[in-house]
Amino acid sequence: MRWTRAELRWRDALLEALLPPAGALPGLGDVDLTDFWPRFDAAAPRHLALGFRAAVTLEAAVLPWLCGHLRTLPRLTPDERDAVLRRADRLPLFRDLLEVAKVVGCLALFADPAVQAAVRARP
Amino acid sequence: MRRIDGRTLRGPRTLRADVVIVGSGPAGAAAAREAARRGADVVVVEAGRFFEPADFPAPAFDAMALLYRDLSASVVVGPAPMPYVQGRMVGGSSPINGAICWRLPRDVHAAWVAADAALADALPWATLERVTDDLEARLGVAPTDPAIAGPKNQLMARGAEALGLAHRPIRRNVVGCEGLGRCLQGCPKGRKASVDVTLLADAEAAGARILSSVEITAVDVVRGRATGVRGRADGGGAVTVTAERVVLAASAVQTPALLMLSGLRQGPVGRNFQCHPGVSMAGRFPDPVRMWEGATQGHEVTGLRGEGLKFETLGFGPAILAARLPGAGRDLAARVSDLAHHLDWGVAVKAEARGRVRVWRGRPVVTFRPTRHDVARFRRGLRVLGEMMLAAGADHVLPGVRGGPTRTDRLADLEALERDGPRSARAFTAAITHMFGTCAMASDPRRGVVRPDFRHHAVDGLYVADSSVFPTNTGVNPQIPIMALATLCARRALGLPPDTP
Repeated sequence: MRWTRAELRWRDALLEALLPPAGALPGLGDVDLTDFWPRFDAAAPRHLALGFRAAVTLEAAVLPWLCGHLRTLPRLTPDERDAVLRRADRLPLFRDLLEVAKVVGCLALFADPAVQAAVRARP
Repeated sequence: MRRIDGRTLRGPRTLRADVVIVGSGPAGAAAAREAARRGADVVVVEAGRFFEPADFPAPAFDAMALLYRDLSASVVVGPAPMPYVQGRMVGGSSPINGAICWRLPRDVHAAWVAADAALADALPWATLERVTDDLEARLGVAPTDPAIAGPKNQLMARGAEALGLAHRPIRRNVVGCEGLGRCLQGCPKGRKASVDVTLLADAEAAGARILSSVEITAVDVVRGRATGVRGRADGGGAVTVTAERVVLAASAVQTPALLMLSGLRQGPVGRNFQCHPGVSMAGRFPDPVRMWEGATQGHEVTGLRGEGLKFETLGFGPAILAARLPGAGRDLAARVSDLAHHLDWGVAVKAEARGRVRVWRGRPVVTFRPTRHDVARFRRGLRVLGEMMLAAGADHVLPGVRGGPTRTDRLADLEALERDGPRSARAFTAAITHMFGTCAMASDPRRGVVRPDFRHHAVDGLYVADSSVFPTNTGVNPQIPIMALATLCARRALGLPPDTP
């Protein structure tokens, strides 16, 4: 099932917030994932694809409301997004789904050869 | 032609053999080698395809998508869902495992015989030892070379030594390892002596044919006797292999599922699922440890095996290590940017819980619920991991337990984690390796699916060679014992006694 435009915005905002840039490491928002998503869609088993989609919806569209924001994740400031994700880490269902998003996000980040090279490089 | 690529089979294809073996992992490869070398006409059918070392990708995602079943995201269902990992390629999981080799422990064999005396003759200890010697020689099994161990393995040795725990370099089936840390993605240098390049190669040299990219969906049975298998090639063609003997070696998940899909539900098929759930702990060290370098899994702590705990270094690439670090957002990004200083060690638990494999909509579904004793072992294992890391010089450790400390450098916190930590398996991030028992071997057809001679209790000519037949889990990495038992299975399928020279 195709993702809606709103879901794609939520997905991108969630991943940007999940792994922002730090030190020499680019954030997920800095990496071109155009090539990654079709490969993920082709390879992911149904339960993982559904779990990731549920994670995107709940973490990006529902959780901010539970945290008192009347906006979804893409409309929050970086500080607000970070606070929302910290809250997710303490809520049972949201915590589990955040783990799913984390796995997908880390696979996506390190699928980029430049990121691999940056991390593996010796100082 | 010895190799047939199912991706090229667009129309129906029928093959004839003395023995058809479903699955080409450690069990299927060992059974094929033994049967072919004894003169049988053997066909091995494998759902995955052939890969060469040059095909093995570096990024974890590409490797998981290409080489693992379900992107490595198959999950057991239960109160604490856990992933279990299976390869999908010629060689099964062997080309992508950590290459860890253990002989079948004597105490495990003794427990099997104590529970069913017929196993003493069916699995003679001296014969198993001889078969294991031969397998280890063929696979080049040897302790990890200190020159390529790398910091993560050396640090475990230091930590275990400080705690007075027995430890050793892991014995692995690698020849000329350069310590690239890529075992779990397939060795790009082809240095792992995985079964696709050893035992299957021997089988091919002895005349066996290998049919890859063909998923077997049914065992054919006529008047109580197996007559072959049927399936579909990735190219779309229907494939039938007729044979005097059918040997199932598709794993402790896929084999019972195939039996059930074939309508063979006699006995406790799919029940008695046993495994080694593992939990891991990350630690941060002052000097770079670069977990992705050095022998993938090169050191182990054996001192608490009597408690059902075996500790191993782990060998993830950066993506998986990053995903296993705690936190989200800036906290996580800060840790990931410091990834070279982090490593992860694991403990495999000889779980007492029993699960079950069922079939739902044509696919296997595994249910499993760790017991409270298993969860206590998770806590105990994590405490010891943390103590070893701190003894080895870690700044702090990251237990990864919900309801526990996110990070600590205090032994008292680790002691409290074991004593007062969560009682629910849900609190732990666990993964399952090594699965057993779902077509257990037993004299009594109510307790086992196959007889002590590996033959199905209700169907003549049908044998099971993989770890499904193990009466219990082993508490150690089972690839060598799987190969040893599968060798004996092949002898039985050919009508030979187990101790045939």
